[in-house]
Amino acid sequence: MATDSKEARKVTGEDSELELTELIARHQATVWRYLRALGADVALADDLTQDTFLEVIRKPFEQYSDAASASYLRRVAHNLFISRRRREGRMLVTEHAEQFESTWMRWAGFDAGNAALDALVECFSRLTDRAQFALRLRFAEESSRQGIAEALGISEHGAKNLMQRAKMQLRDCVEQRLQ
Amino acid sequence: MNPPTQPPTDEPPRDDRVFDSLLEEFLTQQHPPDLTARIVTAWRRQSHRASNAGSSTELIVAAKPIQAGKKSLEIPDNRAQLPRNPVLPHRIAWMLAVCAALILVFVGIKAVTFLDHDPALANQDEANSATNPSPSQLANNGVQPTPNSVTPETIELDDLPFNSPESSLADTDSPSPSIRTVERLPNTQVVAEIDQSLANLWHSLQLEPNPVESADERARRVIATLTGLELPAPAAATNNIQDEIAQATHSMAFARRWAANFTQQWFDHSNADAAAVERLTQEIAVAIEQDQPWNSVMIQLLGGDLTNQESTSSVFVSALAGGENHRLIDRLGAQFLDANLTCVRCHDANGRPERATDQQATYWSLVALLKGIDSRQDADQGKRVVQDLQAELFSVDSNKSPKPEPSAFYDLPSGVLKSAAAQLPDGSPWQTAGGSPRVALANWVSQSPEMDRATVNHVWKLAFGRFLVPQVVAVESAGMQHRTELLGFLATQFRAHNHNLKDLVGWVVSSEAFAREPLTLTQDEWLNFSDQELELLQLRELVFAAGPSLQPQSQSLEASLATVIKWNTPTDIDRTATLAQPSTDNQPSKPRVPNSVAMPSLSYILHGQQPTISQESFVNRLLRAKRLSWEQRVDHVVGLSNRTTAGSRVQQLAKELLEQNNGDARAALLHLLWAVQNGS
Repeated sequence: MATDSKEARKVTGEDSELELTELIARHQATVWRYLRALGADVALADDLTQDTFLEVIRKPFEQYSDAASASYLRRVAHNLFISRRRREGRMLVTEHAEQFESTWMRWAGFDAGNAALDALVECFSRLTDRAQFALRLRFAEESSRQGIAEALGISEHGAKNLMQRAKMQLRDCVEQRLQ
Repeated sequence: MNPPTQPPTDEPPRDDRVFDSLLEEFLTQQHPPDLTARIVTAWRRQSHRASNAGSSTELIVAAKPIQAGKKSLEIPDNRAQLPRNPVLPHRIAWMLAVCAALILVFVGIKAVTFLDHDPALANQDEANSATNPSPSQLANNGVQPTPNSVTPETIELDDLPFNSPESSLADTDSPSPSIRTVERLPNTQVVAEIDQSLANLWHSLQLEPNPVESADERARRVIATLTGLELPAPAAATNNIQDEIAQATHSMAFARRWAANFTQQWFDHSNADAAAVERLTQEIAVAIEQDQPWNSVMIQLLGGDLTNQESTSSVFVSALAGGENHRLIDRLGAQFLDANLTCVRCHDANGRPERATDQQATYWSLVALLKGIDSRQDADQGKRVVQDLQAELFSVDSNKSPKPEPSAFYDLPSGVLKSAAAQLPDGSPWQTAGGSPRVALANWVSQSPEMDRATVNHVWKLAFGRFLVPQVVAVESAGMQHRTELLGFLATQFRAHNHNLKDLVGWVVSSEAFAREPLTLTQDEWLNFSDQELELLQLRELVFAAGPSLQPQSQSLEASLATVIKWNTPTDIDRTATLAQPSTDNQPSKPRVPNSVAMPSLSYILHGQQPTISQESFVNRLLRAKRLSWEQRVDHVVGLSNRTTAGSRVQQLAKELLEQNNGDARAALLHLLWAVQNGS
């Protein structure tokens, strides 16, 4: 009996590693992007993605479907993120998980956001050069609104309006392509 | 006073955060990293610590089961599981470990005492120790492990040599002298061989082929297939058919059409830039028109210059590379190696394990071989660009000191971890083929008989709408021996004819099989035919005893699946149930299927209520694999087509099918299988 139970445990261990590898391959992009959307920086998203999978594989876990697994992983990631923020004494994320989840599902629910990103590539190229430049400064260079206004030779209010309109156009365009 | 609708800070509205994060990812190109190795390593460390702490740790874990997916997917508050006092859990674990160790010592002493009194059992345990000398088992049996009998666990799991006997890459299909020295037959004789081979096949099945079409109809079909042009009816063909074929295959319209046929397959479901593909199609068309050996296209696609982002290779690689290059490898397999590598990524192929390309080890040696090749979206250029780091990873320069080459790790179906070294598909070192590993692979493929077979098979499919020999033989086997021999013969003649695509296409459309009348039955006839008649029709279709329809266009998988779903709606179930029944009355039959419902495949109609043994066996194998999720099962079925994996639309349709069948996975997978067999 002792040998049998040892053998069973060994098999379970190998199974878990296989399951973990497969689970990571299928869902790591979703979890990482979800954490980034929650507000985690790249390093924190890396760490919490790892913690999420370790947390999930630590206990018995059955995969009913990809959608169910992804949803479960996002919930775990969400909880870990909140815990981390609280331990750091930072502002709590106050919105309901369900509300954020529904927003997530709208943009990235079915394919981890790949389709939205593909659509973004095309939609972004349709923006005017000034709008592209402003968004690049805002997101890639992390420039302040004042810096963007100076770079474009417009007022701060104008820079804000420009970026808002550009983002609105982008959202509409991506939404159309996702439908 | 109403509150302000806009937040006063730069913080985006909650609804925008997901979109903003995607926009930021696109603009900063900070995509999700591959954390697999990192997480698995952390998990191993965690498991190692847990096992060191004793079995009591497992008991703690087991005492907190979760109900994942069973209820509302609620999870316990993870904050409670985070150690507030990191010292306390360690103390508990340490105490439990001491308890476990004491129990083990006690059990060990009892076991030794017991063995001392039972020589028979002692002998048995000695035998067990010899066959399974793991330290844990020895400890269980109360025997002290000796240095000679202990096998380090790391050797068991990691860095297993790739060239183990069971993973030998000896390829029975590697180029043999007979292939290289085969006599080049004149075109008419090659066509005669095709006709004779298929006639033998039909004879062996006691099958009467469809009659040959009229000269006009045949000319229309040939011209449409070769050039995409439509002849007016009645056909304006004035020459005899052989002259028409010769004239058409030497036209630019032929070169353009067939170049487009191939590029469409290569870049199907990829990130390719449409303008670049169009440019490439023009280049390929010129190559065809100038009678350049077809196999050189492989070097052009994979072995070319990657530093120039406009080169053909850059277009091909940037469209398909990325991650571990699975899509690139799958495409290379399907299009150039006549193998469905989607299957062998996870396990050896069931049907033809003797071929190197049907072995899982070969797949992962290709993954290792293409390490360093990647593509990413470049925000500045607004397109995907290629990264080639192979010169840094592999010792390409002989003047530099050699360094360990990258390898790929993969799991056998048993769960054992193995490593694969970078090797060519026949097991030979990539250095023998020259250049970097990527270039060596391109050279090898272009000279391989696999590419000859793949080209013949694809040309046949483009002409007839179906492969001469399917790349996965799990669910179709009619006349397979004859068909395989014919494929081999055509592949050797294609090589003997210096890989001339015009000759190859000419042989196929000149054959008698291509001249046969296609199956043209009305929906009423479909409905009223008996089982036997339908089976006979299906067999004719399978072994090319019926000609292809005019301009055979493979239906997309999505369209095929939508047809099956529509056909299978509750209002149509009654109709499908009567399909295979002979007509019982002599009244003129009324159309029982509305014209708006497209006809599904013959296979679907015939086996809609009763699957074939091979179809059932395939689906049952999938259902027995408990590890697979529904989506993965769908991926496996879709893998029977040329697709790498099911896209989101196909997954959505498959889910509809599952719901339509009230959650009966077997029924849904069978419907999906029929859709896949009908679609492309």
